[in-house]
Amino acid sequence: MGPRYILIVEDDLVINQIMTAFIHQKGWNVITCCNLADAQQEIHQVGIELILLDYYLPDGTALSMLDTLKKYRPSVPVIVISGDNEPQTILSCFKSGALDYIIKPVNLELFWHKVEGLLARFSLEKKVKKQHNILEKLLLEKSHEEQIARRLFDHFIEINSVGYEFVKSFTQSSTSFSGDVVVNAIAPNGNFFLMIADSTGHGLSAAMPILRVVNTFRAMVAKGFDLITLVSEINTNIYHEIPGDRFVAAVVVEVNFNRNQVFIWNAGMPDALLQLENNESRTVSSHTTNDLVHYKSKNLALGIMSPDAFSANVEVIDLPMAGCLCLMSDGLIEHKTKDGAFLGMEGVISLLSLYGKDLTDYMRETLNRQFFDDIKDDVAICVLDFDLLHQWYQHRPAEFCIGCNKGEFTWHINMSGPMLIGAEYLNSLNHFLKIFGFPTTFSQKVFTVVSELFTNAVDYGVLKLNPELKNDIEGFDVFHNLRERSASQITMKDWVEVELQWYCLASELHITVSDSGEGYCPKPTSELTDVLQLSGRGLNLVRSLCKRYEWIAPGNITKVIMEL
Amino acid sequence: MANVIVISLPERFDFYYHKKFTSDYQRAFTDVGVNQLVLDFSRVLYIDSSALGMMVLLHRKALEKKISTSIRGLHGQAEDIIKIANMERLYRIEREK
Repeated sequence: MGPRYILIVEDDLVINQIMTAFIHQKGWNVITCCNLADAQQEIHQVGIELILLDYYLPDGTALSMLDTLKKYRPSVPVIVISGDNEPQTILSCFKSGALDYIIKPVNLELFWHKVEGLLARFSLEKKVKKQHNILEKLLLEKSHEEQIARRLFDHFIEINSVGYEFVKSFTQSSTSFSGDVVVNAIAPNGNFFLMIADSTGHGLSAAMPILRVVNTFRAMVAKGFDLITLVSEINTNIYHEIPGDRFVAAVVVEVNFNRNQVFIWNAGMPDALLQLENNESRTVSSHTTNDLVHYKSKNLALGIMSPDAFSANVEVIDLPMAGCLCLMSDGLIEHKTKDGAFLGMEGVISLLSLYGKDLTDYMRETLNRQFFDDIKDDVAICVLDFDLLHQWYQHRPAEFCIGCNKGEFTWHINMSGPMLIGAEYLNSLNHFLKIFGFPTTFSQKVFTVVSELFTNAVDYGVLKLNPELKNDIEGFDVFHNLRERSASQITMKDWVEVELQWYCLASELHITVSDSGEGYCPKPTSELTDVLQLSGRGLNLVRSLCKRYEWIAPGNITKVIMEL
Repeated sequence: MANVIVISLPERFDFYYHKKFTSDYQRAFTDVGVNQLVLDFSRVLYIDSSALGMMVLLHRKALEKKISTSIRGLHGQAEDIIKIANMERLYRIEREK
């Protein structure tokens, strides 16, 4: 900060000197002038914080100077000093912008008291103005940054999000960020997933968990996982990564075309409403109103339950041919209408009865007219139209159908020694099959078959355990204990080999599992799925999952064929 | 009044879970007045034939003690295997409550 000055405009040299000396004593710099002409030059000097102006000067009165100052230095306070105590004179000075009027002879201490008060007031005003400017600048920057962040957020939510005719949604935020979101995705097997999620709180802090939820949702659907696995994974992520007071309520819907079923998982959201047409009836435990079936929240919101204790309660319904499913966030039912009443679930139900599949359009058009302008909470609503969904599925693009893999391969692994105990190494097979573009469900079946054959090769081929031990309860326990004891006797000469061959044209996967044992003869069972038998389960499981099963004498090689 | 015990199963319900599974249900059986046992499959991604064997054993032991058995949260591959093995003859499969 540069030097600060007080400008004295006084033609009486004695008064001028006395005041200058006095003000110097107080620690201030002084500029002095004896007429208006000089003063006109000096007022442009930087650092002038106060002007003491004599009323009568050789080249005019203080009034003309006050007009000039109003024009060029409006922010500098002026005190007029004069021997004239005419009220009219004093008033005209005040009208022209003087802040105080001191009558001569001047009492210096009293005068200085006034000066200090004035300087303090102006310094405060200056500070306030400066802070106001900073605040305005910050608010402007914040608004710019929020706009950019908002664009990024919207881009992230919308990226890869395909708009389908059969899903209509409407979201509106209470702030520039929304804790509510509606996303959808198609699984590799053509199943359709829809999620409406509502994060606790508002603004950026609510938006952050939503990004994680949306990201996980998309990744899990793309990998072909089912609904429960998907919500379990999202819950695990939110539980570990987001502060304890934050959670995300959601409804996730899976439309499974293979099973012709719809799965609804509601965690902490208002009822999902199913509106049926064509007299389609539902025998459900959920209650109904106005021909609507309610699917209430039966799960804790995401991020509350520890991953170890996670449990999912899913509603399963037959896929309706027509009608719609309406999902909403609590922001909608807690909205106040113009008459001050809450819209409530009843309000939504009556609107759904009136507008049906067009409810989101109605909301978009009338929200601001229907409700108060200040939105207290984020609002989201979406409607899944089953009629249009079926139409889409019948004419869906080929990329959603499982295509034949274009090519053939052989996958081969030979393991020996104590590493045979523990099937962890086979996990890579699952990953490998996914990379080659096999559907998740098929990869899991292959993994099950290979695991069972591998376990048999280790248990009966390498360890030579007696499968008949498993025929009764006590034997079952004995078998498990024996297996754990025998595992320590495995040497490097003991091995198991797994080979997979993929035949593209036949859509067949040939699996061969052999071992270093002398061979064992699996006991054929009369009924493949005799639920009460304890032994031979693994083999029966393999047989029911495979197209062909072949046991090669002396029994240390098994070949199976699986069809995609 | 149902006195329910829920056993929550891991992602991999297979041979290596045998010990934990056995101690879980044995602890459940020591509770007085238990008349329903639920296996929660919500987290299960993989199940093998050993697990099916364990389930048959558990059912038999529960039957002796007049405890009903059911399954909750079944999905994906585990659901297919449970159905292939006709487990619904031993365990009531909860669809919704």
